[in-house]
Amino acid sequence: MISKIALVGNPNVGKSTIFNLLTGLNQKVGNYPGVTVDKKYGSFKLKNEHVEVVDLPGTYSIHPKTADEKVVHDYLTNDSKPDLVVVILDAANLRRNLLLFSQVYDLKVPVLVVLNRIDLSKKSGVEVSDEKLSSLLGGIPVVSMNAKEGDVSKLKTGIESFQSPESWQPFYQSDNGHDYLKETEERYKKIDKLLKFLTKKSSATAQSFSSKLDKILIHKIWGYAIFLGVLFVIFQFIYVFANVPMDLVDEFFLVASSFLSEQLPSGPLSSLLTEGIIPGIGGVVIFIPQIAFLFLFLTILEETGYMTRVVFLMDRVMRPLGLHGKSVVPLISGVACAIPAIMSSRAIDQPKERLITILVTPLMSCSARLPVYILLIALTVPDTLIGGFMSLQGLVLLSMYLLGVIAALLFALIFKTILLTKSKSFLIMEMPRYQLPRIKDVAFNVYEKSMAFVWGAGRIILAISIILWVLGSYGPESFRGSSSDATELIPQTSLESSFIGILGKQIEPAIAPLGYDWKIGISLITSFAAREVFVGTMATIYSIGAEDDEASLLSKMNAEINPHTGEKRYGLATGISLMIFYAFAMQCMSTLAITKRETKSWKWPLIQLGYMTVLAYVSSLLAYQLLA
Amino acid sequence: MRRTLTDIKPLLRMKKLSSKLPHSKYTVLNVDESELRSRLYEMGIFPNQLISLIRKAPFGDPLLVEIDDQLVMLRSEEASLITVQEI
Repeated sequence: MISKIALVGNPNVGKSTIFNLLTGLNQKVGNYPGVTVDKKYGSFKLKNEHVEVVDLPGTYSIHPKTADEKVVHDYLTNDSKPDLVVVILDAANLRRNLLLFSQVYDLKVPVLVVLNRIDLSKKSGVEVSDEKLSSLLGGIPVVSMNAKEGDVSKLKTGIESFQSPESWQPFYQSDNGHDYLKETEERYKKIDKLLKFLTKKSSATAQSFSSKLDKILIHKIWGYAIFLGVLFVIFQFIYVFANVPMDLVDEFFLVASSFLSEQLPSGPLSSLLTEGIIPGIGGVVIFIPQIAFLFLFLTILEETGYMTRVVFLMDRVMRPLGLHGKSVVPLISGVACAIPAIMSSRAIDQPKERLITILVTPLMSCSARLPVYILLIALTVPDTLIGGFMSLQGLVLLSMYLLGVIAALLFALIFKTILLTKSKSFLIMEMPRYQLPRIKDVAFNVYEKSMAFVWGAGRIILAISIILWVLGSYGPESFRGSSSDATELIPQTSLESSFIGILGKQIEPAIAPLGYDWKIGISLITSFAAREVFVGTMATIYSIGAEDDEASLLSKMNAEINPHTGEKRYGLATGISLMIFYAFAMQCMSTLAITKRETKSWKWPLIQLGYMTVLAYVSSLLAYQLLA
Repeated sequence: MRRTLTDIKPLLRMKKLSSKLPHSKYTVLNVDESELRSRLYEMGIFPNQLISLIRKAPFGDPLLVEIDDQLVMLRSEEASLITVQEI
């Protein structure tokens, strides 16, 4: 009885599609111990029996050189190996696909072959029937299909009626010692012999459309122009369309909070719920629309094959900076949100380049910085035109974004020189033909990535939100009551006298040289939850009621006088210094949580926090001292 | 003996793939010793195999080659491991 099967295949053979078709929504993502390789598994029913499916990473061989190959190799050779290994072959590229098959076959495990994209094989002139291929492969059962059509019933029947061939002869046997290169050559020789039995007519229809498209899409000028155009469209969509659900989420959690605070008897419990937990959950959920939209576009670009063209165009440009062609996607995604951006860095298989990409991505100005920039620019930058047509405020906003890009690239270069590594950088990558993505596969991927964020980072975000609530609601005064019972603690009426308020005042000497007072200090601390909290904290400190709008916050902040200088508290120097601080500082616990999740250690998020804080402090100090 | 240009012509034609111009077909003569050697072998790049150089990316790097009707990109650093002869 077959109760556990594993899917094996080259990259781009349609393995995930088959996995999605078999398991539907019955799938989970876990991790293989010790490596950052996703373990995708699920189950389906076969004659009322549950069959577990593991979707192993796509590899060209099981010779363990990379983390992916090691995972596949170990999984197929360990004690709890699957009852059946389903090797998926791309009918349009049998030769190289059969190399992996021959290696798996020689492990002497039960193998079933799926010949996918049978439609393409007819186009490219390979005539192959299931029976013929089966007899060529030593009697291994073969199921041909076209997974894009969405029907796996033939495969299910094949698994159900699976029987190993009676005799087994090794595909390759080494005569003297083990030489992997020789072995690979010999395997290919034998594959070529087998392929001679499959008639092959010369035909190039499948390739020619792709190569015509490539003439434009990887052209030395048009290639870059089109890439910029694609980015422009994506960000327009993210900003325009993600804003609608994000506002709805925001609204919903505000309403839920105020509804509960009216219903529940007032006290610490109600306050914890309405000011700590509910906004905490809201702070997680609010990121989902952006993450989902970004991954929707990234998945489409990936599935169509366009992303490998971007790697081709950008690799040479990124390399001197210690980055990889594949680093482009995370860095650009960072302009929307560093969380999905860091998650997308998994595509980079070189550990050093991936780590550098993760470390510098948060320097790209994400959308959470925008409200802070907008408030501070309106407050401190004069609304004048330069040369009669350029808005100075617009120019400052653009400079903040450029500053992020420059800092990210500069620090990539610094990390390139200081991080030592044994692994050598290389790029040997298949460029698949263009193809239309299957909507369900895209949907699965978007769902999976959004859930990974909710469970991976969400818990930490929620925990820190609650801690910040405690520190913001209670102060030393709370503990001076007659009772030591926690429920009798008196919440502080003002943020100023809470632990956070006291901490804000404590750090004033440290941030005074940057041009900040304790009020900004408080905002810097609460901003650690998320940068946009700055605006809300400022509103709380300046006691802005809910009925007032942002304009009144602006006018109150504008009227603030610095007692030491007698000038406006929020002058140009403080404004620029504060914006630079927000551009560089790691004030996003969600990003730290994701970095921890992706690097599997607290070391890297702490380094990220450290270097970005130092960078922010030093740059803001310089900016203020020069401008003041 | 003085070598004439015709004598060394076959030698001149044996060169690293990275130094070649696009739109030509080559036979692989040798893949240099390197930790990437087995990976190149797995992709089908080893002696006596056909390889076409399709194009080079802007700035001359990476290279796009065709093996077995499949497009593969590699950096010129990787391509410099591959000695080829024009056919």
